[in-house]
Parts: sequence; C-alpha cells; structure tokens
Amino acid sequence: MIDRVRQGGPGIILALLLIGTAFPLVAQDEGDLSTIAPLASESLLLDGAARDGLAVVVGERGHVLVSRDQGRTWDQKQVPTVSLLTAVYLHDGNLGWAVGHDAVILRTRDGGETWDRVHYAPEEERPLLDVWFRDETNGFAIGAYGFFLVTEDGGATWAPQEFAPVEEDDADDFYGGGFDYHLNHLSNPGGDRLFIAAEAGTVYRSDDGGENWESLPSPYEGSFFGSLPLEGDALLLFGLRGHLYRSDDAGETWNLLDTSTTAMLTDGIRLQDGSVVVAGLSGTLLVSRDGGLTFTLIQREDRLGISSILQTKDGGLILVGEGGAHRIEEL
Amino acid sequence: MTLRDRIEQLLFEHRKWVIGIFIAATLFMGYSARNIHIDAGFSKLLPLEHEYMQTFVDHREEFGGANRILIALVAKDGDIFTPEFFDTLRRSTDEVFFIPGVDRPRVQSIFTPNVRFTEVVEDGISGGNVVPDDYQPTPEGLAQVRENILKAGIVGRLVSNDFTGALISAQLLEIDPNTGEPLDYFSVANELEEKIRDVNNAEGVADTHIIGFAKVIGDITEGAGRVAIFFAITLLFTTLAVYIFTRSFRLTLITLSCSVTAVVWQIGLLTLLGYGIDPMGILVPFLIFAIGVSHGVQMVSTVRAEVFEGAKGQAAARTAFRRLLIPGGIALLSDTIGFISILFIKIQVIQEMAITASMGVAVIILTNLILLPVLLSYVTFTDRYWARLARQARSFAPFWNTVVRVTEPRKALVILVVSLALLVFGVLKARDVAIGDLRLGVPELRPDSRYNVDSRAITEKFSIGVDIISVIVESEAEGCIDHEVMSTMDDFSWHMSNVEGVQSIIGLPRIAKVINSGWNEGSLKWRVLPRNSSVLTQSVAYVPTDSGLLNEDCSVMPLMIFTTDHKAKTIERVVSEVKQFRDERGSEKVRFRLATGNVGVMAATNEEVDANQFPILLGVFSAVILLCLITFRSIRAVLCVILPLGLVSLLAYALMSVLGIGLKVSTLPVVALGVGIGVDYGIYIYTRFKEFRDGGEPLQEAFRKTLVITGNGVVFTGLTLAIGTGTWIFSPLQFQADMGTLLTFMFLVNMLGAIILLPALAAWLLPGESRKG
Repeated sequence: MIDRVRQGGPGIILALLLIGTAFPLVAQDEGDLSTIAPLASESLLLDGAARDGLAVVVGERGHVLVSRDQGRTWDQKQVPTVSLLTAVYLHDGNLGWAVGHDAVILRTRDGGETWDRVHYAPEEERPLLDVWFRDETNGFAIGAYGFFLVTEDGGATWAPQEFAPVEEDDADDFYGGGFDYHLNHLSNPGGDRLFIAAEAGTVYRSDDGGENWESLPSPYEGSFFGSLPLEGDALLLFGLRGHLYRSDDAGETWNLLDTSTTAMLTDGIRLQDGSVVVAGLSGTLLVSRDGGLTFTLIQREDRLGISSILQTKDGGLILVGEGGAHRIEEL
Repeated sequence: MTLRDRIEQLLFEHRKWVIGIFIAATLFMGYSARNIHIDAGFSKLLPLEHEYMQTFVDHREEFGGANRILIALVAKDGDIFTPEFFDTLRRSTDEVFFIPGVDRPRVQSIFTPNVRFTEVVEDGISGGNVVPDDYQPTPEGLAQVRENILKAGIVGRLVSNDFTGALISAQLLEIDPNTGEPLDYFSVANELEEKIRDVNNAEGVADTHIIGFAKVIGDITEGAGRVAIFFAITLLFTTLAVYIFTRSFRLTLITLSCSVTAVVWQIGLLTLLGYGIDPMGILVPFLIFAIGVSHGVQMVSTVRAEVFEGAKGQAAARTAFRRLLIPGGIALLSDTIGFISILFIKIQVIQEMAITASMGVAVIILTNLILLPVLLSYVTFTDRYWARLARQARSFAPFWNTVVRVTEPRKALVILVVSLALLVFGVLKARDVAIGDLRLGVPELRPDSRYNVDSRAITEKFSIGVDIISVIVESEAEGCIDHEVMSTMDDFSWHMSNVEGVQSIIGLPRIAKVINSGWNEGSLKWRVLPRNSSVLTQSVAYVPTDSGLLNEDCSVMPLMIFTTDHKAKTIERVVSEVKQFRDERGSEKVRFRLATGNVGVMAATNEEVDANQFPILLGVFSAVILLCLITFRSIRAVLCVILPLGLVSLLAYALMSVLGIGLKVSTLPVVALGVGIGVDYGIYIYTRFKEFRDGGEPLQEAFRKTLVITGNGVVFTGLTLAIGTGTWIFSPLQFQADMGTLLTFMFLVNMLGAIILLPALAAWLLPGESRKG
C-alpha cells in the first residue's frame, strides 16, 4: 500500500481511500481541527523553528503558532489535528513540516498560514519526535521505538523504513537485537552527515545522508535528547540528569562536561555571536562563551521547563516549553 | 357587642391576671432562653435544593467539598530553610492532626508522608518524602529538603513561590468521626488560634495566616458576640429617645419592658424549638426590639391623646386598645408577611431567620397590643406632665404646620414631580444592582478584617487561590483509564483555562500527563494521555484517592477551577462556559456536574437569590396591598400607601448599586423586611386620617390633626428603628453593616414617604379633595 503511495498522483488518492477504508477511525478524525485559544502561546509548546523572518512553534492540542515579528507576538493557526506536536522544521519562509503524537505529520506551503495533514496513524501508538529535510523533497521523520519515516515527494507521502544501524562491536545489546529505542533528535552538521540522539545512551551517525547508520560508542547509559554539531568534527551530546558530552572526532570519543545541574537537557543552539547555549528542564540554560568547551549555569527564576531554544534574525532568543513561547532579549 | 369589645372587656376586667400570666410566661421563656447557643453550620448556609448543591451532597463524603483550612507560616526573617522554622512548621503540622474534625489522612505539609517527590533517574523513577526520615537540621539537611521541594513540584502550593513561607492544608469533616457529633466550628477556630497562631506568635519565628470555612465561622461568631455592645448602645439610645418622646420615666420603662419581653419570648421560643442563634440571624432580636418599641410608641401616643381629649382612668387605655388593635394588628401582620416571604429562599439559615423573626413579630402583637395598653391603664398623668407635653407640642406645631402644606395642590404637585424624578433615577440605578458579592475576600467579613488580610497574604505568597469551583465529572467505573473520558476532561480543562477570571485548573488528566511523561524519563514530548488504556492505567495508578482528584473506582473525578475572585460576573461567566462545554461535549460517559467549592456554593446561592428576588417582592407587595385593601376598602387609599413604599424599595436598590452592595442572601431579606415594616407608617397615618375625614374634617385639617397626633409617633418610630439598625453599620461583620445600612435607609425614607409623599398623593388622588383643601 505504501509503495503505491509513493507513486504519487492518482496513487495518492487511491491510497487515501484505502487508508480510509482500512481505518475508519482515521477518516472520522479528518475533521478534528485544533481550537483557536487565547492562551495558546502560553500552553505547552515543544519545538520551534525560525527562518527568513518567519518563526513557527508547535505543541499540545495541535497548537501551531506563527510569528512574523521575531517572536514578539504569536498568531495561532487552525490545523487539522489536536495531537501533541513535538517538532517542526522549516525549509524556507514558505515550506515546513510538523510532526507529533499519533504519528501525525502536517505540511505548510504558504509560510505557516495553512497546514495539511499528510500522515496520521494513531493505531501505531508511537509518536514522531523529530523531523528533518535535506532539501524540499527529501526528508525524515523519526520517533519512538525506532520509528523512521521517509519522504521523497516533499512530504506528500511517507513510507516507513527499517532503522537498522550497524552495531558497534562491543555493543551491549541489552534489549535483544531489536532497534526499538526512541529516536529523539536528529541533527545535521552540514553535508551528508547526520546524528540521531536516542534512548538509553544510544547515538547514531550516518555519513551518507541517512541511507546507512552506525551506532557510536556511548559514554552513558541514560537517554540522550539532543546533539549540537559545532565547528568541524566537534559535537555536543546531551540528555538525562544534566549530562553533557563533547566529542571532537564526530562521536568516536566523548568527554563529560561539568554542568552543575541534574535537569534534563533538551536542546542546543549556536548563537550569532558564536556562544553556545544548551537548554533544559527546570529553567536551565547552560552558556558557553568559548565555543562549547566550558559552560556556566543560568538558572531561570520561573523554573519552567525549556524544550527548545531558537534565535531570530535580530538576535532575540525564543524560549519554547512549559510556559509557551517567550522572547527574551538577552541571557 | 363585637369581638373586639369582648376581648377588651376580658382583658381590662382581669388586668391583674393578664399581667400575672405575662410575668409567668416571661419567666418561663427567660428560663429556657438561658440555654441559647450560637449555632453555626456549613450545610445551613447552602441552598441544598439547588442543582449544584445536589452535586455537592452526592459527593461530599468522597471529596469533602468546600471545607478546607489552610495555615500559612511565613518566616519573619529570610526564608524557610532554618532549623527554627522547620521546628515551628513540624510542630504546627502535628497540632493540626489533633484539631477536632480534621480528616487526618488528608493533612498536607512538607512534613506529611502523603507529600512525596519523584525524580527521573537513569534506571527509572525514584522518590521519597520531601523531608526525609533521616532529616538533620544541618545546612546539608536543609539543602536536601530544598532540592526535594523542587522535585516534588509543590512550590506555589505547599511552599511559597519565594520560599519564605510554607503551608499546611487540612480538610474538615462535618461529623466528628470520633464522637459522631456535628463539628463545633467555633471550637475548631479557637483551637487554631490558641494552639497554632498564639504559640507561633509567642515563639516569634514565623507569622501565621489561617483561612478556611471554620475560621470564617469562628470570626463571624466572634464578631457576632460583640453584638452585646451594640445591643447595649441601641438600648441606651432608644431609652433616651423614648424618654424625650414620652417625657415620663414611667412610660419609658413600660414601653421598653414590653419590647424586652418580646425579645425574651422570641429567644425562649427559639430555644424551645431546638434552634440556636445563627450568626447570620443575630440581628433578629434587634429588629424585634425596634419594632416593639416603635409600635409601643404609637400606643403611648394614642393613650395620651385620649387622656388629653378628656378620657378618665382606664377609659383612655381601653379606647387606645380598640383604636390600634386593627391598624396595629394589620401593620404587624404585614411585618410578619415580610419575614415569611423570605421562606422562598431555600437556604436553611435564612429560613430559620424567617421563622424566628415572624415568631418574634407575632409575640409583639401580644406584648404591645395587649400587655402594653393593660399596663398603661394604671398610669395616671399629673398636671405638670401635661404642661411639659404642651410645651413640647407647641414647639413641634410650626413644624407640622409646614409639613401639612404639602397637601396644597401646587406644593403637592412639586412633591409628586420630585418623586417622579427620584423614580426615574431609581429605575436607572436599580438596573445596575449586581447579584452576589462584589468585594474581594470573604464577603461576610470586613475587607480589612484579619481573615481577609490573611487571605490576601496567602494568595500573594502562593499560587493557590482561595476561590474554587469544582466541576465533578461522573463516568463509568474505571473512567480514568478510558482515553475518550480523560481527553474530554482534558479539553474541558483547557477550554476553562482560557476563560477570563480562571486562574488555573487542577484535575486528573493534567497529573496523568505529567506522570506519563515521568514514565518516559520526564520528557515533555510525552506529556500526553496515552490512547492505550493499559499505558494510561500506569499513569493514573499512582494518583492516590486522597489527592481529591478521583474516587476509589475512578468513576468520579473532580476538576478544580481556581478563579481570580468571586465577583458575580466572574462566577456567571465561568458557570455559563461550563454549561456550554457540557452541552457540546458532555455525554452519558462523561457527565459534567456543577459544582462544589466555595465559588460553587456562591454560584448556587446567587442563582437562588436571582430566581427568588421577584417572587419575594411580588409576594410581599401583594400581601401588603391585600391587607390595605381589606382595611381601607379603597383602591385610591391603597395607592396612597403603596406608591411611596414602592418608590422607597426602588431607591433601596439604587442605594445598593451606588454603595456597591450586591443583592445576596443577607440583603435580599432586608428589602422584603423594609417593605413589611415600612408599610406600618402608612397604615397608622392613613387610619387616623380616615377617622378624621369620616368625622367630616376637610382634607388639610384632617392631615394637620393626624400629623400632630400620629406624625410625632411616626417620626419617632422611624428614628427608633433607624437607631436600632443604624448601630449595625459599625459591626465588624460586613453583612451586618450592609443590612444595617439598607434597613436604616429604608426606615428613614419610608418615614419621610409617609409624612410627605402620602399626603401629597392623597391631595391629588382622593376625589374632590384638592378643591375642599
């Protein structure tokens, strides 16, 4: 069925009809539009993206908010889902995708004004946790229990692909061979190299644009929730209980950095001025002014969990998380 | 011989017997009144028949309803992390366990074992008590507790947002489980003061703030206790006033003792019927006293007038008795109807007030229309007394001569135009009267009372509100592991969060989402309600029933909506949003039921008051109109008496809107009482006026004579009643002050209406009168 979907054109319609008959529940949910709510910008928001003067944040109840003034004000858009959206990716000022629970994938082609639901599979009972596009047609969506979806038509159709990385020799295959870890976060240092930060201390790398993956040696048994590529082969990897590692050889060896926090670290960013910021729960911000070698802890008063941090063109920062989306002028 | 003559004969030929019987009865009533107690209860204040309160009654056992106490300790210096503060907090927590009626498993503070923290570690979730069993009062130990507080997510709830205070929360049971007795709120309030606030104050480590229904009742009772002072003041001023009016020590004594007798009987009857005095009803004896005195004065002035006309010995008292039995009886009957009409409000405390007050008024019929004339028949007047009186009358004469000119057609017209203007003003303003409470804090107490200060301190330091309306969701057994049920509840929570006036919402779905995220290493990306019911089970299994968020088989789950205030508009908006959501999304599987919590009670009460304000006023006015029709047998006469009354009631509404007093359980009865008592003046004046008219006097002369004899009494009556209720304006209790303001206004303005507007109306309404004048 999925193969047919890939053919595009009439195949898509046929496929949608087939999905419709196979999962009547899904068809009924087609009409589940998100509700425009005054407090949407203060609800639980999980991810954001900013590009070409456009900023988009996504979160609970299918909340999608768009800002065209560098994150100062937000405008909620009605979208065809009420599921918790976990990640958003903008290709440019027009084209973008958002993913979330119930394996929902939304696509916009008009700068976030309208969104189509291009994938939805609540019966899978596994959420999508991140999305990334190499160009405007090819992309991946990753999620729980080794969920790995691929699109080659700009996100109109998606096909599952088996996620079978080459295992490291000494890997302690505790869970019995199934590559069912939660794939939490995908990053791209540029070129064909990709990293996936995953559950239970696993981290994967691909050097060919996501065709083949290999498992990297892990410094830690707790989960990783993100990675941040720096200059050259340098890379930060972070996750549970304040664990932050740095590798200078594309993930072959790791050094534990001092963070002075046990809060979960969720997202990292390189700012325009070259400083590096890693954000986390309980209002945690770790700031490095030396290119990611040492970090100082900034504990935010509100202690609200930060899920994502982004920078707008004019240098402002947007914190996305438990308190919604808020712009701050400086750290 | 008419019935009235027979009664007169019976009474006045056996005067000693009559007095003897009254003395015996008063002794008996006084004896039973010695057991009078202040009787406050939570359920008594609820409109139990209201839909919302049915929900409250259905689930009271499981969720305790609205009966919570919160004790906040705020460190005098610095933050809570000192060994001394911890000692104080631990001791206070322990004390709370031993306060009568406290539901011990539900006591919460950082020291209680039901407050736990959980944290995500590499191999799962770990947890423990916030203050660990091996807590040591060392810097390290305190630092550990600080960490645990953060992990437990109780900042804002049990620990203040700025870490300078901590909270102890407890639920009270209406029936003490140990003794099976109904809870004595006053003693709970006392123990809270003595064992916690006083001890903490002596220690000097922390300031104590206590709020909760028990404290409200305690403070109201304490405030009501101060009523004795008000009673003394009222008695003093009334005595002075009566003396100025009667110019006789003996007459003053007789008038007052008849009214005091009425009060003693009323309290005695109350006790015999098994009622106590509710703090809300503590003003009733005042009213009875004031009504008694005002009618007594009418009797005295009538007797005096008879003697002046030449009646000798008993004859004056007997004539006065005959003259006043009907108008006095009718007037008191209309007072009684005013009180009884309040029975429309199905709230026990108000109904008790209606019953006890109407009993009191019925007693006045006996003491003032029977005992008083009998006693007065013993009084003889000296020439010196008459001389004194004559001087007084002379000094009043110019005043009445001026007043009576309102019956001149042109002056009457001016009065009518002014009244019409007032009517328009009244209609415009009265429309703005809000139902319910308009002020912050507990409405029964003054805004600057200690309770309301405590309440503000707590809401400022902590993120919890004191105004809660709980919507109870009823589902099937195990509804909490049904995704559809839980997500509908979750959508409801979000919908309500977006309503103006809603501060926050606590409910099972939110907790379940946080726990589900906890099972997924605390990641925010898993903060959802799992569709799979076995996964959902994992998320709710760890929520204890003592959280108050679900019952044993999780078929019932309250959603607690904290509102920013309890102003009537806020409540109305929240309730209507709940109803709208219920109509759109509610189903057999997810039944949203309004409402418990203090704001739920207010919502029900407001709706009860709103639904009853017109039936009550309609009832009072039709009864009064009917009584006047029977007495005067003329529609024009009824208009003369009723129109001023209607205008004054309207102006009372206008006054409420100007002063920002809401129409609520304590003020709606006042409007009804004001009508019932206000009509007295009109009845006395019109009766006497009719007698003169029937005797052939022209209108203006009839009015002049009426005012000279009855007018003095009416002015005096208005002043006495106003003194009796005016003292309440200084009560420490807000609702008494509101009632006092309104009653004083109604008594005074009704008096003016009866001596100015009534004659002016008569001049225009009664056929041919204006020409004769």
